[in-house]
Amino acid sequence: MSFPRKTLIPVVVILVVAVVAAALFLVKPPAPQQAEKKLVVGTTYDPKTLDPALAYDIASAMVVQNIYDQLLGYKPGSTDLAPRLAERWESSENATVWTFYLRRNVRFHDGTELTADIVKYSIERAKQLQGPPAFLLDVVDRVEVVDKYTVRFVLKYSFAPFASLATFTIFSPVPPNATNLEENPVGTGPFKLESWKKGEQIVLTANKDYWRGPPKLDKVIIKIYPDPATLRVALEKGEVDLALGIQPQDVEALSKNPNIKMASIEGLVIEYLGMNQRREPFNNTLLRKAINYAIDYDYILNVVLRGTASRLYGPLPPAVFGYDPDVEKYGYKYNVEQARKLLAEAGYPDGKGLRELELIISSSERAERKDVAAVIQRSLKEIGVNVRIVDLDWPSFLDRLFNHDFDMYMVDWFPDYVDPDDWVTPLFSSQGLNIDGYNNTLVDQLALKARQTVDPGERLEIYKQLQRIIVDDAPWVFLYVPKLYAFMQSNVEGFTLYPAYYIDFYPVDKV
Amino acid sequence: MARNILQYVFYRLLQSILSVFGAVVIVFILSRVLPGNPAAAILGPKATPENIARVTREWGLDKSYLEQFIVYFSRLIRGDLGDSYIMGYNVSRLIAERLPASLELVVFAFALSLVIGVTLGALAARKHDTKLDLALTSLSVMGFSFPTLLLGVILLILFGVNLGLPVGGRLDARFTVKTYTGLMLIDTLLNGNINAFIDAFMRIIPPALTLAIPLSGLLVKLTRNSVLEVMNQDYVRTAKMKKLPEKVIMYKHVMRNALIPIVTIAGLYFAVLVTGDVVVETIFAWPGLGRLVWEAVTLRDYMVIQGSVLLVSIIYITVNLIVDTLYVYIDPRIRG
Repeated sequence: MSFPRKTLIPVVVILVVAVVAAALFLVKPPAPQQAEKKLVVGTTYDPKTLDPALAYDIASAMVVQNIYDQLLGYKPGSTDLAPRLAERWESSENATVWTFYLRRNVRFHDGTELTADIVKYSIERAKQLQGPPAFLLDVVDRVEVVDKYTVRFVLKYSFAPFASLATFTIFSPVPPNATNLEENPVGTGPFKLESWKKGEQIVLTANKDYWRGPPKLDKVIIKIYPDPATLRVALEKGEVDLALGIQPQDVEALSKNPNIKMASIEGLVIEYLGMNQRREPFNNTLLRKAINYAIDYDYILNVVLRGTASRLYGPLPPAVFGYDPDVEKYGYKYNVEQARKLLAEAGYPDGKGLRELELIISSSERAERKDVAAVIQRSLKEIGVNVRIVDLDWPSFLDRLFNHDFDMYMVDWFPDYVDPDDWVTPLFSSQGLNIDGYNNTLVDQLALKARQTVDPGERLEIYKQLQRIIVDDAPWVFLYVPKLYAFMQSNVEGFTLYPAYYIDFYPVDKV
Repeated sequence: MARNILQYVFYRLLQSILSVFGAVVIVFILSRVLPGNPAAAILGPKATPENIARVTREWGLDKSYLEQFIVYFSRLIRGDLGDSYIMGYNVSRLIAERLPASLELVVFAFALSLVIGVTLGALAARKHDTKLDLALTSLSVMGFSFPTLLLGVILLILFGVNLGLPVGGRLDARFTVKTYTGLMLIDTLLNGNINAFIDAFMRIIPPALTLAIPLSGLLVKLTRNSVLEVMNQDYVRTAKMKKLPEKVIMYKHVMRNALIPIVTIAGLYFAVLVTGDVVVETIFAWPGLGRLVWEAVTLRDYMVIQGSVLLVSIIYITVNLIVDTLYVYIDPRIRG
């Protein structure tokens, strides 16, 4: 007698589930009510830490930049320095002593007043913690408190780009009495941390007592979409107000969407192809030049990247001080005849006698890199050079780089500070990272001289000279500069992109 | 008889502890054998040998593997999984933050596939060798062999773009919901926010389906075969000859015995699902364990890798233990 009940139960369960599901699908949920001005920011990377002494990735920097202030900032949308916590700054004639005059009446979220003592403490703390960005403070010998609102950095050597360095998040003062900053950040910035669910979202609330006046938004919710395709869907559905991290392949379609506003700017990150000059055949300058002429740059820019990047002709991107526009004339352009001629002069007519070359990449960070590498492979095949592409995961790729175990590699370079020094010294001086084994004494000397020169006119001349020498030596194939993009709903106002990927929510408003 | 079960469980427990220890040692070695290290991974191309050296020193990674293992193991037996190098937080906290999202999704997906898989499988068996059976079996093979990546993207576009339903993440970011359990479907209800509940419910469906469709496919096939096999047993034939109603035979005699292989496979599959599916979590912006492990591996964050694999092996072994004990319950013959 029990079986009818037994059959009834599953049937009822299935029916209930089906009815509930159908009801839910038919009734679209009402959008949440908005009593406060909330900006939902969609991004693809999850921050690692919110402690300015430890943060060294763009996702962490984006949050740190809005909770903290740095000594200096940028003028809106540019790479020109602007006062921030320091009202003004000056350097000694040889750029070894830098004095910063702090703004008065700046208070931390906990009410502590910002003083020179706190700046000194914060820098010493960061040096002591030895986090990933601590190497940026190696140049600092000591920090001196001149008076309550004046702080002096005494450097170990002349360093003209120091003011540019003072915009980095590690130059964010932190109050000495604050504990557990990773968890409970206490800054002077326009926003406070409300909550952080790792891998999911970060909620910032307005600091109503901010020294530049309260921000226009009540809340900023940073939501993590690891897949840029999902971020795009969320943006087009209006769930995200501002999207950072859209893939180049989606730019064209989104720019045609009438409901979405686009902002874009020339970036500072450069993508290049490095060649190992410690080994054959790359120790041959003629061969390196031949490769530079052989690449179909226009195909990469227009077809693969669909106009989302511009050409890099030399060691510096166009947006940085010191860039010489003449490089666009003397830099390498696609010229197969010239490439074949130089390859023959190098001793490898039509690639004869040349082994198969290995190009290592890591496409997990930038998906388009795989396609660019394929174009390079095809371009080189055209002149008789055979290339094998090996796609590695990021740590394995870096391991090969640091062990100088590669023929060619493709990677991008993120500057830490916006000064030509952060491209030239680490990448081309034999005293820098020296990944490629490039060695030119004149470059070493000029790079050092430019770093020690304070006068901008003199520095510009040195960098012009450096660009010519480096391009002529062809240690790399100079590829492209990706543009920066942000997409937002049409009611988002006041968001400005900065070439240095400085993300500022303070002036943003929703109307 | 009771003593036999206790002995059995005790023996299995001992075996399990040894297996967990083995897993700890193997993962410790494997993660360090991978090329690259966490200091370089976070510093990127900026990592000069000096910079790598001092960050590694700060993190204690310059010590020998044996020393590192002793430090790790002595903390581990006190229940401390160690701290993430990259993020600074304790690993048990990082896991605890991700676990509710993973559990919620997996339980949902699992329930869904059990309902779909077992019902359709039993149906196919009862109507075996008909067109319906053929259709169901073909569908199940398709479901099982569908790549998750493709299925996920199709469902994302179908639900999010074509149907215009909410997708991505666990809840619309504009809802403010207080956390009680970490399970979004329950928290939204506890907050008394019915709109948020509907939103959360709709968001869990596409990722849950992505996980459930392959498992359902497997369960349909498994249930069908298992039911058919039992239906040919002597005792079922006897029951049929006794002219018992077909439904009684089906529920009382067939399903109960047919369930054994299903429980095994479903149990193991559950353990696999709990550990997180990085593809599904990436496509649907679901903050589960899969992405935590994936990111830890790509940054060589050894402690997080070790901690999560430890958790995975404990879950796996526990589920195995439960499944084996369930056998004894379902099938009296095993009790011996």
